[in-house]
Amino acid sequence: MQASETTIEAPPVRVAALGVDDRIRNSLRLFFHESCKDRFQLVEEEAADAVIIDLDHKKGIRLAQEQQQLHPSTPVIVISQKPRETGSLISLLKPLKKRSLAKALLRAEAQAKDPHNSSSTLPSLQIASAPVASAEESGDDVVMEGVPPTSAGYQIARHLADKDLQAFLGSTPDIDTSSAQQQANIRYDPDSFLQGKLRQITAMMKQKGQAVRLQFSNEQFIILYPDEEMAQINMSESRLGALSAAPISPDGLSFTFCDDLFSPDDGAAGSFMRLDALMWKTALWASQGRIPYETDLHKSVALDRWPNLTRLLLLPNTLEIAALWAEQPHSLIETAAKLKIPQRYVFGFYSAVFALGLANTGETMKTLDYIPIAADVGEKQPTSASWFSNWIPFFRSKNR
Amino acid sequence: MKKDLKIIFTGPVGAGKTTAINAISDTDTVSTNESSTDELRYRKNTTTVAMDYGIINMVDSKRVHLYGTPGQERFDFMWDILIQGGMGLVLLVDNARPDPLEDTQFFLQRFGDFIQRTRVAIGVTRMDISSTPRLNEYQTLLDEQTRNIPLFEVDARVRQDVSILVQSLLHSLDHQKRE
Repeated sequence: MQASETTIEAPPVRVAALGVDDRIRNSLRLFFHESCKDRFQLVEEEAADAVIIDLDHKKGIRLAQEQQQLHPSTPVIVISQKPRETGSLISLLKPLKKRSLAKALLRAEAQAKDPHNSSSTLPSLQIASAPVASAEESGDDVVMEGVPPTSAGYQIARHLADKDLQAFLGSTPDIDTSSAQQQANIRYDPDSFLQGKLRQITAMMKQKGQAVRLQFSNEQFIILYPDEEMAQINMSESRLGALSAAPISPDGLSFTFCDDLFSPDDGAAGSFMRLDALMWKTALWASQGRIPYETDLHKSVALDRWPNLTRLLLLPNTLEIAALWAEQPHSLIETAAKLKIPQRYVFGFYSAVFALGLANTGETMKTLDYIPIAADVGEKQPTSASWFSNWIPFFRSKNR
Repeated sequence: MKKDLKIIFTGPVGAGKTTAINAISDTDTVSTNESSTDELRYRKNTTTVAMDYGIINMVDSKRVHLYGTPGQERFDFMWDILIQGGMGLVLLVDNARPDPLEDTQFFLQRFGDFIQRTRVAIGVTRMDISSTPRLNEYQTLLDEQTRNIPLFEVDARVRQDVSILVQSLLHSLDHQKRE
Protein backbone atom coordinates (compact mmCIF):
# COMPACT_ATOMS: atom_id res chain seq x y z
CA MET A 1 0.00 0.00 0.00
CA GLN A 2 1.70 3.09 -1.19
CA ALA A 3 0.29 5.23 1.56
CA SER A 4 2.37 3.46 4.18
CA GLU A 5 5.19 5.96 3.85
CA THR A 6 2.93 8.87 4.57
CA THR A 7 4.02 10.84 7.54
CA ILE A 8 1.18 11.81 9.77
CA GLU A 9 2.02 15.16 11.18
CA ALA A 10 -1.34 16.11 12.59
CA PRO A 11 -1.59 16.29 16.36
CA PRO A 12 -3.08 13.17 17.92
CA VAL A 13 -6.80 12.95 18.41
CA ARG A 14 -7.44 12.89 22.15
CA VAL A 15 -9.83 10.15 23.16
CA ALA A 16 -11.37 9.57 26.57
CA ALA A 17 -12.69 6.16 27.60
CA LEU A 18 -15.61 6.33 30.04
CA GLY A 19 -17.13 3.44 31.95
CA VAL A 20 -14.31 1.06 31.07
CA ASP A 21 -11.99 -0.78 33.40
CA ASP A 22 -8.23 -0.41 33.55
CA ARG A 23 -7.59 -3.46 31.42
CA ILE A 24 -9.58 -2.06 28.53
CA ARG A 25 -8.03 1.31 29.07
CA ASN A 26 -4.57 -0.21 28.79
CA SER A 27 -5.60 -2.18 25.75
CA LEU A 28 -6.80 0.98 24.08
CA ARG A 29 -3.57 2.74 24.94
CA LEU A 30 -1.60 -0.07 23.38
CA PHE A 31 -3.86 -0.14 20.34
CA PHE A 32 -3.44 3.57 19.81
CA HIS A 33 0.31 3.27 20.02
CA GLU A 34 1.01 0.03 18.18
CA SER A 35 -1.64 -0.06 15.53
CA CYS A 36 -2.51 3.57 15.07
CA LYS A 37 1.03 4.88 15.42
CA ASP A 38 -0.08 7.31 18.10
CA ARG A 39 -2.62 8.95 15.87
CA PHE A 40 -4.93 8.68 18.86
CA GLN A 41 -4.07 9.42 22.45
CA LEU A 42 -5.91 8.32 25.57
CA VAL A 43 -6.74 11.30 27.79
CA GLU A 44 -9.12 12.29 30.55
CA GLU A 45 -12.63 13.38 29.70
CA GLU A 46 -12.02 17.09 30.09
CA ALA A 47 -9.40 17.16 27.35
CA ALA A 48 -11.06 14.80 24.92
CA ASP A 49 -11.76 15.39 21.25
CA ALA A 50 -13.77 12.18 21.13
CA VAL A 51 -15.18 9.78 23.70
CA ILE A 52 -15.60 6.02 23.97
CA ILE A 53 -18.34 4.87 26.35
CA ASP A 54 -19.16 1.34 27.49
CA LEU A 55 -22.96 1.24 27.55
CA ASP A 56 -22.93 -1.98 29.56
CA HIS A 57 -21.35 -0.19 32.48
CA LYS A 58 -23.92 0.64 35.13
CA LYS A 59 -23.52 4.33 34.39
CA GLY A 60 -22.92 3.89 30.68
CA ILE A 61 -26.24 5.16 29.39
CA ARG A 62 -26.22 8.12 31.73
CA LEU A 63 -22.65 8.94 30.67
CA ALA A 64 -23.70 8.87 27.03
CA GLN A 65 -26.70 11.10 27.69
CA GLU A 66 -24.62 13.57 29.65
CA GLN A 67 -22.02 13.60 26.96
CA GLN A 68 -24.61 14.45 24.32
CA GLN A 69 -26.11 17.16 26.45
CA LEU A 70 -22.92 18.76 27.66
CA HIS A 71 -20.73 18.25 24.61
CA PRO A 72 -23.06 17.69 21.68
CA SER A 73 -20.37 18.30 19.11
CA THR A 74 -17.95 15.78 20.60
CA PRO A 75 -18.07 12.49 18.69
CA VAL A 76 -19.06 9.51 20.82
CA ILE A 77 -18.28 5.85 20.19
CA VAL A 78 -20.47 3.54 22.24
CA ILE A 79 -19.71 -0.12 22.79
CA SER A 80 -22.16 -2.71 24.05
CA GLN A 81 -22.81 -6.43 24.22
CA LYS A 82 -26.16 -6.21 22.46
CA PRO A 83 -27.35 -3.93 19.69
CA ARG A 84 -28.90 -0.79 21.10
CA GLU A 85 -30.64 2.19 19.63
CA THR A 86 -27.91 4.78 19.72
CA GLY A 87 -29.13 7.38 17.30
CA SER A 88 -26.29 9.15 15.62
CA LEU A 89 -23.63 7.83 17.97
CA ILE A 90 -20.99 5.59 16.50
CA SER A 91 -21.89 2.14 17.69
CA LEU A 92 -19.71 -0.95 18.16
CA LEU A 93 -20.66 -4.39 19.38
CA LYS A 94 -18.58 -6.45 21.73
CA PRO A 95 -16.39 -8.34 21.36
CA LEU A 96 -14.44 -5.50 19.88
CA LYS A 97 -12.68 -6.11 16.65
CA LYS A 98 -9.63 -4.17 15.72
CA ARG A 99 -10.85 -3.32 12.25
CA SER A 100 -14.18 -2.01 13.48
CA LEU A 101 -12.58 -0.04 16.25
CA ALA A 102 -10.11 1.58 13.88
CA LYS A 103 -12.88 2.59 11.53
CA ALA A 104 -14.98 3.96 14.34
CA LEU A 105 -12.03 6.02 15.52
CA LEU A 106 -11.53 7.38 12.04
CA ARG A 107 -15.14 8.45 11.86
CA ALA A 108 -14.84 10.09 15.25
CA GLU A 109 -11.70 11.85 14.10
CA ALA A 110 -13.44 13.15 11.00
CA GLN A 111 -16.31 14.44 13.09
CA ALA A 112 -14.03 16.03 15.64
CA LYS A 113 -11.84 17.78 13.13
CA ASP A 114 -14.43 18.81 10.63
CA PRO A 115 -18.05 19.03 11.65
CA HIS A 116 -18.93 19.63 7.99
CA ASN A 117 -17.20 16.49 6.85
CA SER A 118 -19.64 14.15 5.18
CA SER A 119 -17.26 11.59 3.84
CA SER A 120 -18.05 8.94 6.39
CA THR A 121 -21.67 8.18 5.99
CA LEU A 122 -23.73 5.19 6.80
CA PRO A 123 -21.96 2.22 5.26
CA SER A 124 -19.40 2.15 7.99
CA LEU A 125 -22.13 1.99 10.61
CA GLN A 126 -23.09 -1.38 9.31
CA ILE A 127 -19.59 -2.65 9.28
CA ALA A 128 -19.22 -1.57 12.84
CA SER A 129 -21.95 -3.93 13.93
CA ALA A 130 -20.24 -7.11 12.87
CA PRO A 131 -18.17 -8.50 15.71
CA VAL A 132 -15.65 -11.16 14.80
CA ALA A 133 -12.93 -11.62 17.31
CA SER A 134 -13.03 -11.31 21.03
CA ALA A 135 -10.76 -8.87 22.70
CA GLU A 136 -12.37 -8.61 26.07
CA GLU A 137 -13.83 -11.96 26.81
CA SER A 138 -10.94 -14.03 25.55
CA GLY A 139 -8.50 -11.93 27.44
CA ASP A 140 -6.70 -11.02 24.27
CA ASP A 141 -5.38 -7.62 23.86
CA VAL A 142 -7.22 -5.34 21.49
CA VAL A 143 -4.25 -5.79 19.20
CA MET A 144 -4.77 -9.22 17.76
CA GLU A 145 -3.24 -11.58 15.32
CA GLY A 146 -4.77 -11.93 11.92
CA VAL A 147 -4.72 -8.25 11.16
CA PRO A 148 -2.58 -7.18 8.23
CA PRO A 149 0.96 -6.67 9.41
CA THR A 150 1.19 -3.18 9.75
CA SER A 151 1.93 -0.12 8.45
CA ALA A 152 -0.08 2.52 10.23
CA GLY A 153 -3.45 1.29 11.39
CA TYR A 154 -4.78 4.55 10.21
CA GLN A 155 -4.01 3.85 6.60
CA ILE A 156 -5.30 0.33 6.88
CA ALA A 157 -8.56 1.51 8.31
CA ARG A 158 -8.94 4.18 5.67
CA HIS A 159 -8.21 1.65 2.99
CA LEU A 160 -10.91 -0.61 4.43
CA ALA A 161 -13.40 2.24 4.58
CA ASP A 162 -12.73 3.05 0.95
CA LYS A 163 -13.22 -0.57 0.04
CA ASP A 164 -16.58 -0.63 1.78
CA LEU A 165 -17.72 2.27 -0.32
CA GLN A 166 -16.28 0.64 -3.41
CA ALA A 167 -18.43 -2.44 -2.82
CA PHE A 168 -21.45 -0.29 -3.59
CA LEU A 169 -20.13 2.47 -5.82
CA GLY A 170 -17.06 0.96 -7.45
CA SER A 171 -14.01 3.04 -8.19
CA THR A 172 -14.44 3.98 -11.83
CA PRO A 173 -13.32 7.54 -12.51
CA ASP A 174 -15.57 9.95 -14.35
CA ILE A 175 -15.94 9.04 -17.99
CA ASP A 176 -15.51 11.00 -21.15
CA THR A 177 -18.94 10.66 -22.72
CA SER A 178 -17.49 10.91 -26.20
CA SER A 179 -15.64 7.65 -25.65
CA ALA A 180 -17.72 4.64 -26.65
CA GLN A 181 -15.39 2.38 -24.74
CA GLN A 182 -15.75 4.33 -21.54
CA GLN A 183 -19.51 4.43 -21.99
CA ALA A 184 -19.56 0.66 -22.38
CA ASN A 185 -17.50 0.18 -19.26
CA ILE A 186 -20.07 1.78 -17.02
CA ARG A 187 -22.97 -0.40 -18.06
CA TYR A 188 -24.33 -3.67 -16.75
CA ASP A 189 -27.34 -5.89 -17.25
CA PRO A 190 -29.47 -5.91 -14.07
CA ASP A 191 -31.37 -8.97 -15.27
CA SER A 192 -28.20 -11.03 -15.04
CA PHE A 193 -27.83 -10.26 -11.37
CA LEU A 194 -29.81 -11.00 -8.25
CA GLN A 195 -31.19 -7.46 -8.62
CA GLY A 196 -33.03 -8.40 -11.81
CA LYS A 197 -34.13 -11.81 -10.54
CA LEU A 198 -35.58 -10.18 -7.47
CA ARG A 199 -37.47 -7.68 -9.56
CA GLN A 200 -38.97 -10.39 -11.75
CA ILE A 201 -39.83 -12.70 -8.89
CA THR A 202 -41.25 -9.91 -6.77
CA ALA A 203 -43.55 -8.87 -9.60
CA MET A 204 -44.84 -12.43 -9.88
CA MET A 205 -45.19 -12.71 -6.12
CA LYS A 206 -47.29 -9.58 -5.91
CA GLN A 207 -49.52 -10.81 -8.67
CA LYS A 208 -49.96 -14.17 -7.01
CA GLY A 209 -50.16 -12.83 -3.47
CA GLN A 210 -48.14 -15.71 -2.12
CA ALA A 211 -44.77 -15.97 -0.38
CA VAL A 212 -41.88 -17.13 -2.52
CA ARG A 213 -38.70 -18.93 -1.59
CA LEU A 214 -35.52 -18.21 -3.51
CA GLN A 215 -33.14 -21.11 -3.16
CA PHE A 216 -29.42 -20.69 -3.71
CA SER A 217 -26.73 -23.29 -3.58
CA ASN A 218 -25.42 -24.39 -0.19
CA GLU A 219 -28.91 -24.34 1.30
CA GLN A 220 -28.96 -20.59 1.44
CA PHE A 221 -32.33 -19.02 0.81
CA ILE A 222 -34.40 -15.87 0.86
CA ILE A 223 -38.14 -15.90 1.51
CA LEU A 224 -40.15 -12.95 0.30
CA TYR A 225 -43.47 -12.11 1.93
CA PRO A 226 -45.85 -10.09 -0.24
CA ASP A 227 -48.20 -8.67 2.36
CA GLU A 228 -45.55 -7.54 4.80
CA GLU A 229 -43.11 -6.59 2.05
CA MET A 230 -40.37 -8.24 4.03
CA ALA A 231 -37.59 -10.68 3.22
CA GLN A 232 -36.15 -13.39 5.43
CA ILE A 233 -32.53 -14.03 4.57
CA ASN A 234 -30.56 -16.95 5.93
CA MET A 235 -27.10 -15.92 4.92
CA SER A 236 -24.54 -13.45 6.10
CA GLU A 237 -24.36 -9.91 4.85
CA SER A 238 -21.08 -10.62 3.10
CA ARG A 239 -22.50 -13.70 1.40
CA LEU A 240 -25.52 -11.73 0.23
CA GLY A 241 -23.16 -9.07 -1.08
CA ALA A 242 -21.12 -11.63 -2.99
CA LEU A 243 -24.26 -13.18 -4.49
CA SER A 244 -25.52 -9.77 -5.52
CA ALA A 245 -22.27 -8.54 -7.03
CA ALA A 246 -21.75 -11.39 -9.50
CA PRO A 247 -24.03 -12.50 -12.33
CA ILE A 248 -26.28 -15.39 -11.33
CA SER A 249 -25.73 -18.57 -13.31
CA PRO A 250 -28.83 -20.35 -14.64
CA ASP A 251 -28.56 -23.09 -12.04
CA GLY A 252 -27.51 -20.77 -9.26
CA LEU A 253 -31.02 -19.81 -8.22
CA SER A 254 -34.40 -21.47 -8.19
CA PHE A 255 -37.64 -20.29 -6.67
CA THR A 256 -40.91 -21.78 -5.53
CA PHE A 257 -44.07 -20.27 -4.20
CA CYS A 258 -44.82 -21.44 -0.71
CA ASP A 259 -47.34 -21.07 2.07
CA ASP A 260 -44.89 -19.75 4.63
CA LEU A 261 -46.38 -17.13 6.87
CA PHE A 262 -44.42 -14.16 7.99
CA SER A 263 -43.23 -14.85 11.50
CA PRO A 264 -40.47 -12.56 12.71
CA ASP A 265 -39.87 -14.75 15.75
CA ASP A 266 -38.83 -17.71 13.61
CA GLY A 267 -35.74 -16.22 12.10
CA ALA A 268 -32.46 -15.41 13.72
CA ALA A 269 -32.03 -11.84 14.89
CA GLY A 270 -31.19 -9.63 11.97
CA SER A 271 -32.32 -12.12 9.36
CA PHE A 272 -35.25 -10.00 8.23
CA MET A 273 -34.96 -7.08 5.90
CA ARG A 274 -37.49 -4.84 4.28
CA LEU A 275 -38.07 -5.79 0.68
CA ASP A 276 -37.29 -2.32 -0.64
CA ALA A 277 -34.08 -2.26 1.39
CA LEU A 278 -33.08 -5.63 -0.07
CA MET A 279 -33.79 -4.52 -3.63
CA TRP A 280 -31.98 -1.24 -3.06
CA LYS A 281 -28.91 -2.91 -1.65
CA THR A 282 -28.70 -5.72 -4.20
CA ALA A 283 -28.93 -3.08 -6.92
CA LEU A 284 -26.06 -1.12 -5.43
CA TRP A 285 -23.95 -4.24 -5.09
CA ALA A 286 -24.63 -5.20 -8.71
CA SER A 287 -24.19 -1.71 -10.04
CA GLN A 288 -20.95 -0.77 -8.28
CA GLY A 289 -21.33 2.70 -9.68
CA ARG A 290 -22.55 1.55 -13.11
CA ILE A 291 -25.87 1.99 -14.89
CA PRO A 292 -28.27 -0.42 -16.61
CA TYR A 293 -27.47 -1.07 -20.26
CA GLU A 294 -30.18 0.96 -21.90
CA THR A 295 -29.80 4.07 -19.80
CA ASP A 296 -29.33 7.23 -21.79
CA LEU A 297 -26.70 9.29 -20.05
CA HIS A 298 -28.05 12.49 -21.50
CA LYS A 299 -31.74 11.96 -20.95
CA SER A 300 -33.32 13.78 -18.06
CA VAL A 301 -34.22 11.71 -15.02
CA ALA A 302 -36.97 12.61 -12.59
CA LEU A 303 -37.77 10.94 -9.32
CA ASP A 304 -41.37 9.74 -9.29
CA ARG A 305 -41.40 9.41 -5.52
CA TRP A 306 -38.81 9.72 -2.81
CA PRO A 307 -37.39 6.39 -1.65
CA ASN A 308 -37.83 5.76 2.06
CA LEU A 309 -34.31 6.94 2.72
CA THR A 310 -34.40 6.64 6.49
CA ARG A 311 -34.62 2.88 6.06
CA LEU A 312 -32.27 2.41 3.11
CA LEU A 313 -28.53 2.32 2.81
CA LEU A 314 -27.56 5.95 2.45
CA LEU A 315 -24.53 6.62 0.31
CA PRO A 316 -22.73 9.92 -0.24
CA ASN A 317 -24.86 12.65 -1.82
CA THR A 318 -27.97 10.50 -1.97
CA LEU A 319 -30.21 13.21 -0.53
CA GLU A 320 -28.85 15.87 -2.86
CA ILE A 321 -29.44 13.78 -5.95
CA ALA A 322 -32.91 12.75 -4.80
CA ALA A 323 -33.92 16.34 -4.13
CA LEU A 324 -32.59 17.52 -7.45
CA TRP A 325 -34.46 14.86 -9.39
CA ALA A 326 -37.60 15.42 -7.36
CA GLU A 327 -37.52 19.12 -8.16
CA GLN A 328 -36.01 19.31 -11.63
CA PRO A 329 -35.24 16.56 -14.12
CA HIS A 330 -31.54 16.35 -14.95
CA SER A 331 -29.53 13.89 -16.96
CA LEU A 332 -27.02 11.72 -15.13
CA ILE A 333 -24.11 13.65 -16.56
CA GLU A 334 -25.69 17.01 -15.76
CA THR A 335 -26.42 15.85 -12.23
CA ALA A 336 -22.82 14.93 -11.49
CA ALA A 337 -21.62 18.20 -12.96
CA LYS A 338 -24.19 20.32 -11.18
CA LEU A 339 -23.60 18.76 -7.79
CA LYS A 340 -19.85 18.49 -8.41
CA ILE A 341 -19.73 14.87 -7.36
CA PRO A 342 -18.21 11.75 -8.93
CA GLN A 343 -20.34 10.33 -11.70
CA ARG A 344 -20.34 6.90 -10.09
CA TYR A 345 -22.29 8.30 -7.11
CA VAL A 346 -25.02 9.41 -9.51
CA PHE A 347 -24.88 6.17 -11.48
CA GLY A 348 -25.16 4.08 -8.32
CA PHE A 349 -28.10 6.08 -7.04
CA TYR A 350 -29.81 5.86 -10.40
CA SER A 351 -29.42 2.09 -10.46
CA ALA A 352 -30.91 1.83 -6.98
CA VAL A 353 -33.96 3.99 -7.72
CA PHE A 354 -34.31 2.17 -11.04
CA ALA A 355 -34.51 -1.10 -9.10
CA LEU A 356 -37.34 0.32 -7.02
CA GLY A 357 -39.12 1.61 -10.11
CA LEU A 358 -38.82 5.21 -9.00
CA ALA A 359 -36.64 6.60 -11.77
CA ASN A 360 -38.58 8.30 -14.49
CA THR A 361 -36.85 9.13 -17.76
CA GLY A 362 -40.06 10.13 -19.47
CA GLU A 363 -40.01 13.57 -17.86
CA THR A 364 -43.57 13.09 -16.73
CA MET A 365 -42.78 14.40 -13.31
CA LYS A 366 -45.21 16.66 -11.58
CA THR A 367 -45.55 20.04 -13.10
CA LEU A 368 -43.66 22.48 -11.00
CA ASP A 369 -44.77 25.98 -10.52
CA TYR A 370 -41.31 27.24 -9.65
CA ILE A 371 -42.57 29.88 -7.33
CA PRO A 372 -39.49 31.66 -6.04
CA ILE A 373 -38.87 30.80 -2.47
CA ALA A 374 -39.27 33.50 0.05
CA ALA A 375 -39.57 33.20 3.73
CA ASP A 376 -43.02 33.80 5.05
CA VAL A 377 -44.30 37.23 5.95
CA GLY A 378 -41.68 39.83 6.44
CA GLU A 379 -38.69 37.84 5.27
CA LYS A 380 -36.54 38.74 2.33
CA GLN A 381 -35.40 36.14 -0.06
CA PRO A 382 -31.74 35.30 0.41
CA THR A 383 -29.59 36.70 -2.32
CA SER A 384 -27.01 33.98 -2.59
CA ALA A 385 -27.88 31.04 -4.79
CA SER A 386 -26.00 28.78 -2.44
CA TRP A 387 -27.64 30.06 0.69
CA PHE A 388 -29.33 26.80 1.58
CA SER A 389 -26.39 24.79 0.42
CA ASN A 390 -24.36 26.41 3.13
CA TRP A 391 -26.51 24.77 5.75
CA ILE A 392 -26.68 21.31 4.36
CA PRO A 393 -23.18 20.02 5.12
CA PHE A 394 -23.81 20.84 8.72
CA PHE A 395 -26.90 18.67 8.83
CA ARG A 396 -24.96 15.95 7.11
CA SER A 397 -22.51 15.96 9.95
CA LYS A 398 -25.45 15.68 12.33
CA ASN A 399 -26.46 12.59 10.51
CA ARG A 400 -23.87 10.29 11.96
CA MET B 1 -27.34 38.78 4.76
CA LYS B 2 -29.67 36.97 7.05
CA LYS B 3 -27.85 34.53 9.24
CA ASP B 4 -30.41 32.25 10.73
CA LEU B 5 -32.82 29.69 9.42
CA LYS B 6 -36.21 28.82 10.84
CA ILE B 7 -37.86 25.47 10.36
CA ILE B 8 -41.33 24.62 11.62
CA PHE B 9 -42.29 21.19 12.93
CA THR B 10 -45.98 20.45 12.87
CA GLY B 11 -48.36 17.52 13.06
CA PRO B 12 -51.09 16.08 15.24
CA VAL B 13 -50.85 15.45 18.95
CA GLY B 14 -48.43 12.67 19.81
CA ALA B 15 -46.70 12.61 16.43
CA GLY B 16 -43.33 13.28 18.04
CA LYS B 17 -42.69 16.94 17.32
CA THR B 18 -41.23 17.64 20.75
CA THR B 19 -39.19 14.44 20.62
CA ALA B 20 -37.88 15.19 17.14
CA ILE B 21 -36.78 18.68 18.09
CA ASN B 22 -35.13 17.27 21.18
CA ALA B 23 -33.39 14.67 19.06
CA ILE B 24 -31.77 17.19 16.76
CA SER B 25 -31.39 20.27 18.93
CA ASP B 26 -27.99 21.19 20.28
CA THR B 27 -29.40 22.86 23.31
CA ASP B 28 -31.99 21.96 25.85
CA THR B 29 -35.27 22.57 24.16
CA VAL B 30 -37.79 25.01 25.48
CA SER B 31 -41.07 23.23 25.76
CA THR B 32 -44.38 24.55 26.95
CA ASN B 33 -46.00 21.29 27.80
CA GLU B 34 -48.98 20.80 30.06
CA SER B 35 -50.61 17.69 31.40
CA SER B 36 -52.82 16.18 28.78
CA THR B 37 -56.53 16.23 29.02
CA ASP B 38 -58.26 12.93 29.63
CA GLU B 39 -58.84 12.25 25.97
CA LEU B 40 -55.12 12.48 25.30
CA ARG B 41 -53.78 10.96 28.44
CA TYR B 42 -53.90 7.43 27.09
CA ARG B 43 -51.49 8.53 24.39
CA LYS B 44 -49.07 10.77 26.21
CA ASN B 45 -48.72 12.40 29.57
CA THR B 46 -48.04 15.90 28.40
CA THR B 47 -48.91 17.89 25.34
CA THR B 48 -47.49 21.07 23.90
CA VAL B 49 -49.77 24.06 24.29
CA ALA B 50 -47.69 26.92 22.95
CA MET B 51 -44.61 25.73 21.15
CA ASP B 52 -41.37 23.82 21.30
CA TYR B 53 -38.16 25.51 20.48
CA GLY B 54 -34.72 24.16 19.81
CA ILE B 55 -31.56 25.43 18.20
CA ILE B 56 -28.85 23.93 16.09
CA ASN B 57 -25.68 25.92 16.49
CA MET B 58 -23.31 26.13 13.59
CA VAL B 59 -19.63 26.78 13.86
CA ASP B 60 -19.83 30.15 12.14
CA SER B 61 -22.35 31.50 14.63
CA LYS B 62 -25.28 30.81 12.40
CA ARG B 63 -28.19 29.06 13.98
CA VAL B 64 -31.08 26.93 12.87
CA HIS B 65 -34.20 27.65 14.89
CA LEU B 66 -36.59 24.76 15.26
CA TYR B 67 -40.15 25.60 16.21
CA GLY B 68 -42.73 22.97 17.05
CA THR B 69 -46.38 23.86 16.83
CA PRO B 70 -48.85 22.65 19.41
CA GLY B 71 -50.65 19.60 18.10
CA GLN B 72 -54.07 20.30 19.48
CA GLU B 73 -56.30 22.19 17.13
CA ARG B 74 -57.64 24.38 19.88
CA PHE B 75 -54.23 26.02 19.90
CA ASP B 76 -54.10 26.44 16.17
CA PHE B 77 -54.13 30.22 16.46
CA MET B 78 -50.46 29.70 17.33
CA TRP B 79 -49.74 28.05 14.03
CA ASP B 80 -49.95 31.16 11.89
CA ILE B 81 -47.81 33.03 14.35
CA LEU B 82 -45.15 30.35 14.45
CA ILE B 83 -44.77 29.98 10.70
CA GLN B 84 -43.93 33.64 10.19
CA GLY B 85 -40.40 33.84 8.89
CA GLY B 86 -40.26 30.08 8.41
CA MET B 87 -38.28 28.67 5.51
CA GLY B 88 -39.85 25.23 5.45
CA LEU B 89 -42.15 22.78 7.15
CA VAL B 90 -41.55 19.37 8.67
CA LEU B 91 -44.81 17.49 9.05
CA LEU B 92 -44.82 14.55 11.42
CA VAL B 93 -47.78 12.18 11.22
CA ASP B 94 -48.58 9.59 13.88
CA ASN B 95 -49.36 6.34 12.10
CA ALA B 96 -51.04 4.94 15.21
CA ARG B 97 -53.80 7.53 15.22
CA PRO B 98 -57.25 6.56 13.95
CA ASP B 99 -56.93 8.17 10.54
CA PRO B 100 -53.39 9.33 9.81
CA LEU B 101 -54.11 9.87 6.13
CA GLU B 102 -56.82 12.32 7.02
CA ASP B 103 -54.42 13.97 9.46
CA THR B 104 -51.92 14.34 6.64
CA GLN B 105 -54.48 15.88 4.38
CA PHE B 106 -55.65 18.20 7.11
CA PHE B 107 -52.18 19.58 7.79
CA LEU B 108 -51.26 19.87 4.13
CA GLN B 109 -54.39 21.92 3.60
CA ARG B 110 -54.04 23.91 6.79
CA PHE B 111 -50.49 24.92 5.89
CA GLY B 112 -51.16 24.91 2.17
CA ASP B 113 -50.25 28.52 1.51
CA PHE B 114 -47.08 28.25 3.53
CA ILE B 115 -46.06 25.02 1.79
CA GLN B 116 -46.76 26.59 -1.57
CA ARG B 117 -44.32 29.38 -0.77
CA THR B 118 -41.70 27.10 0.75
CA ARG B 119 -41.39 23.31 0.95
CA VAL B 120 -42.50 20.46 3.18
CA ALA B 121 -41.00 17.13 4.20
CA ILE B 122 -43.15 14.47 5.84
CA GLY B 123 -42.12 11.93 8.46
CA VAL B 124 -44.48 9.13 9.43
CA THR B 125 -43.89 8.11 13.02
CA ARG B 126 -44.90 5.17 15.18
CA MET B 127 -44.98 2.74 12.28
CA ASP B 128 -43.57 0.21 14.71
CA ILE B 129 -46.83 0.48 16.65
CA SER B 130 -49.09 0.50 13.63
CA SER B 131 -47.71 -0.62 10.29
CA THR B 132 -50.75 0.58 8.37
CA PRO B 133 -51.41 2.64 6.45
CA ARG B 134 -48.25 1.90 4.50
CA LEU B 135 -46.06 4.57 2.99
CA ASN B 136 -47.41 3.87 -0.47
CA GLU B 137 -50.87 4.86 0.74
CA TYR B 138 -49.42 8.17 1.84
CA GLN B 139 -47.71 8.41 -1.52
CA THR B 140 -51.01 7.93 -3.29
CA LEU B 141 -52.39 10.78 -1.25
CA LEU B 142 -49.37 12.92 -2.05
CA ASP B 143 -49.69 12.20 -5.75
CA GLU B 144 -52.50 14.73 -5.68
CA GLN B 145 -50.03 17.40 -4.66
CA THR B 146 -48.31 19.44 -7.31
CA ARG B 147 -44.90 18.71 -5.86
CA ASN B 148 -42.85 15.65 -5.17
CA ILE B 149 -42.73 15.69 -1.39
CA PRO B 150 -40.07 13.84 0.64
CA LEU B 151 -41.82 11.17 2.69
CA PHE B 152 -40.04 8.84 5.10
CA GLU B 153 -40.70 6.50 7.94
CA VAL B 154 -39.25 8.22 10.97
CA ASP B 155 -38.50 7.37 14.55
CA ALA B 156 -38.67 10.79 16.17
CA ARG B 157 -36.29 9.62 18.90
CA VAL B 158 -33.55 8.88 16.41
CA ARG B 159 -31.48 11.87 15.51
CA GLN B 160 -30.42 10.40 12.21
CA ASP B 161 -34.00 9.95 11.05
CA VAL B 162 -34.89 13.51 11.95
CA SER B 163 -31.70 14.78 10.37
CA ILE B 164 -32.46 13.02 7.08
CA LEU B 165 -35.93 14.53 7.11
CA VAL B 166 -34.59 18.03 7.67
CA GLN B 167 -31.86 17.55 5.07
CA SER B 168 -34.40 16.46 2.48
CA LEU B 169 -36.33 19.64 3.16
CA LEU B 170 -33.24 21.80 2.81
CA HIS B 171 -32.12 20.12 -0.38
CA SER B 172 -35.60 20.52 -1.83
CA LEU B 173 -35.49 24.20 -1.00
CA ASP B 174 -32.03 24.50 -2.44
CA HIS B 175 -32.84 22.97 -5.80
CA GLN B 176 -36.16 24.71 -6.12
CA LYS B 177 -34.55 28.01 -5.40
CA ARG B 178 -31.98 27.79 -8.15
CA GLU B 179 -34.65 27.89 -10.80
